[in-house]
Amino acid sequence: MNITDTSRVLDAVAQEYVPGELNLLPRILSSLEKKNDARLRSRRTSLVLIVLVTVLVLVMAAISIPAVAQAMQRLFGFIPGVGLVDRSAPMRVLAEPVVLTRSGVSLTVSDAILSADRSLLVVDIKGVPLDAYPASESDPGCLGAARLRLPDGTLLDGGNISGGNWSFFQSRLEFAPIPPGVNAATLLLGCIGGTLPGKLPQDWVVPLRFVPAPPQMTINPVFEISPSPVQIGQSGTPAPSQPILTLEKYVELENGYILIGAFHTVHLSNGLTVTGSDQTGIVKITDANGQVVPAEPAYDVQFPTSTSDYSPWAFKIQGRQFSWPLSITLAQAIVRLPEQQMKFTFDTGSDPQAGQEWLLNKDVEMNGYRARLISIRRGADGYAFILQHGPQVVSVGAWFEGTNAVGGGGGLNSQGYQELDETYTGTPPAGKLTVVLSIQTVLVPGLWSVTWQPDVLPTPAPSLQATAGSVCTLTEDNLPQLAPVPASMTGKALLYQKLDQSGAWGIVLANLDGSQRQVIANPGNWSALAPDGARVVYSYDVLYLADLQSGKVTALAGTNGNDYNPLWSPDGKWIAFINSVNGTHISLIVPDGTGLRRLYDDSNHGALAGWSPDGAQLYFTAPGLDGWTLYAIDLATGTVKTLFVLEDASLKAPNATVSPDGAWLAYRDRVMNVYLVRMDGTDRHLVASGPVGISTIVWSGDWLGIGVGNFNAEDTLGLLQPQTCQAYTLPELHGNLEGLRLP
Amino acid sequence: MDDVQAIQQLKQADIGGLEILVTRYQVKAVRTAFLITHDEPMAEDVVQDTFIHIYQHIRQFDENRLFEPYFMRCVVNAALNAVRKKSRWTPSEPGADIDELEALLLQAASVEQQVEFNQLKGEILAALNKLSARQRAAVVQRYYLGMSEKEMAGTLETAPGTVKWLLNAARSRLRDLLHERSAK
Repeated sequence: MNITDTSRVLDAVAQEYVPGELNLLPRILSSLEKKNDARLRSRRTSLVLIVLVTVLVLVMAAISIPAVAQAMQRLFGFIPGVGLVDRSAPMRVLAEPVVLTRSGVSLTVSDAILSADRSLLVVDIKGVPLDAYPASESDPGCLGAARLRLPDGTLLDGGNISGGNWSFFQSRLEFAPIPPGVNAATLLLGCIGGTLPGKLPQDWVVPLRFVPAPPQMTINPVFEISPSPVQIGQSGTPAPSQPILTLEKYVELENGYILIGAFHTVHLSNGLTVTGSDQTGIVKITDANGQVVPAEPAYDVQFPTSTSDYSPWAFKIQGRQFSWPLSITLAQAIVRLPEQQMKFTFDTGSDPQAGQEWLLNKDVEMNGYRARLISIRRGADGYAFILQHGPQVVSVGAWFEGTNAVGGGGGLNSQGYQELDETYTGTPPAGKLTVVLSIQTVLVPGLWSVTWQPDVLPTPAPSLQATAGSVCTLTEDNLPQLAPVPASMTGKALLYQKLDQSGAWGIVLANLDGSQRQVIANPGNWSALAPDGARVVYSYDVLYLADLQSGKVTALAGTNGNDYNPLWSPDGKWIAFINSVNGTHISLIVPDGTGLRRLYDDSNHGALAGWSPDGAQLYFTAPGLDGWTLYAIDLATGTVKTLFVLEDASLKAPNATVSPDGAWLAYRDRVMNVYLVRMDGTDRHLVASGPVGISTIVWSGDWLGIGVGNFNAEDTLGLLQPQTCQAYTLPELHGNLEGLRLP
Repeated sequence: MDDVQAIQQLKQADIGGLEILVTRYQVKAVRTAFLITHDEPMAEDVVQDTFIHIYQHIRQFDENRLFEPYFMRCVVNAALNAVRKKSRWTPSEPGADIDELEALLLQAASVEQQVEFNQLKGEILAALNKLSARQRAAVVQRYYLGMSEKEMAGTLETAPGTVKWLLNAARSRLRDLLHERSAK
């Protein structure tokens, strides 16, 4: 039966119910969006727990646990110059730039990005003459409000288009999202912002068309990090009630990353409060070696609304090669002290003179922070307070109580002291005055940090510097780097292989270099090469024996259909196999079809694993309550002995095989890696790995033949000698490796 | 853009990659699921959920693997699970009617008259309907998706031998059936 034809028939059957013009995409995207929302909600709930745990960790202070970032993909993308865009619906862009020129002034809609969350237009204005602007700053001119009109008449507000005070000006307008399917809109602009009414053409009407975004449009991936990595505080620092610093997203750029996070207003264990909005700008990013990573604010990231309690930040770091992970550290927090004042009386005398200075050396201490009012100096129109304080104090207030100062300033004077001025419009006050001192903001040393590294490191170093012919663990990475099997190494490989383009699979025998390819069975499956290399047994309903020299194929008379998994005894005198009529049974038969002997009724659909070197025991594996288990059948007595459970074995098929010397068992684990374990269950170690999975394992002497699976293509085959770490590929061989015979 | 590029795009959280894969495989996938579930809305749900699953786990997907067979295996498994959950179909004994179905498929693949073909399509659907979901999955994989028996063994969550037994049994009966027909 031709598979292609049957496929066509079944397709026609299904077509009546499932038409070709199906479109699941909107449903899928909508569902993804909902799932992400749901995740966010559940994360918020779990955040309470996370915060509690974090507080405990910080209270214990000395404990330092590296942060673990659980990063997940979101539907956001980042477009340089545009910012974060929601990609849960197909993006659209401007079909073509639109230029409208009137009386020498041109309005160009140069770009548009329509995403699920907003519609962004970039509008350039050129050619505005200077006399179109008001002469006075107090006259703001036209507002320049822009709107988008959709085909159904809906009007969307989107900010103002300004001409600025330049002949060229670019405005970025953000409108509400335009529904999918609406691919036209009209930009309406009454007048160009900042210009005088009547000076320039008014009532601009600009038709726009949108098209699906081209696949090659640069949209950088955005990864949400939730929850934020745990914030670690340096030992001895005051413990915050919750993290001050969180890392929320990162953007993967071609040559760097953008880290997006926030500062939060939190209460410290010393009674002080750290205000989120005060912190921006004092973050330090370092690599794992403590080296500072150059970073700059990322201005093209639009933030959620900032509040006094929540202050988002974004830093762009250049480069992708660092000693990971990076630490984002808030070395010290700016803290506003609770409102406190110290007052004392100061007498200027009745006629203070400009330049007169009174030495006071008055100390003030608040919350353990100190400052000193060194002196007060009379100026031409007021007074200056000269203050001294340590580096942990950021700002100190000093003023005369109850006076009507109209201005003032401050800064470091030539002596390095902080100087605060008070100025008055009339005669400055004199006589007995009340001086008020207040330490207002201080720095709290924190070294609160979070560590981060991208989900996928840019160019992960090869896990194994494989040199040709020398690896101890075969991986997908090093398999292509291995040398092909040398010509000096001869042998035969038995393969279950696609025979031709018709899709038929059969059994093939070939030399290791692919030469002398010989089709043994077509069709046929489950094959085994006799120890002498002269015969092949395979199954197809019943078992068949193929004599390679004569080419004669004989059905083994003793087998009765539904026989598979044949396995030669070491001396070639017996074939063990599984029969699955009315249950599964492990049986033996002599290669001439006589001597059929049922050894064991295995209701668990087990698989044969091998023989002991002396042929006295037959091993098989079968799934049990604790997982796949290795058993041994003593052929002399027929007793079955449980050996050990295959640790973390593949649930479906561990493909366990015993080495010819009876010392090792090779099997697949749950992710299709291959492990070797001694026959007493000890010394388990990895010999082949790869996310694709290892499909087949065969032994010949102390060599392992391994097929790295490709799902509908054929396996990539390799040879590995675990003891010597010699390894080669078999580039000329294709299919599933069923047997191997190396002289 | 080929599948590899689409997957790479998707791995970089670019949803455009998913769009390409959905557009490319949704019809075949829904038809596959339908042939197993015999329930159009369920088939669409199955494929939708499979795409979402793929999206959520795409970072574990190795681009060196071919996407289509991997994806179709997921669809087959999801369709089977969906049927099991709903228990809408009365399972028959394994192998009970596969021979009949295979004969019909063979016949339909060789007919020249559209009228006859249409009639056979109805019979094929009816024959499929008699099978258990697991059997339908085996037939769909072998005769619709063109998977090898070893590939199918992985999908059906059973030992390879079990699948081979199913197909071997079916084939032998089919041979008998064809012999009978040619003898008539």
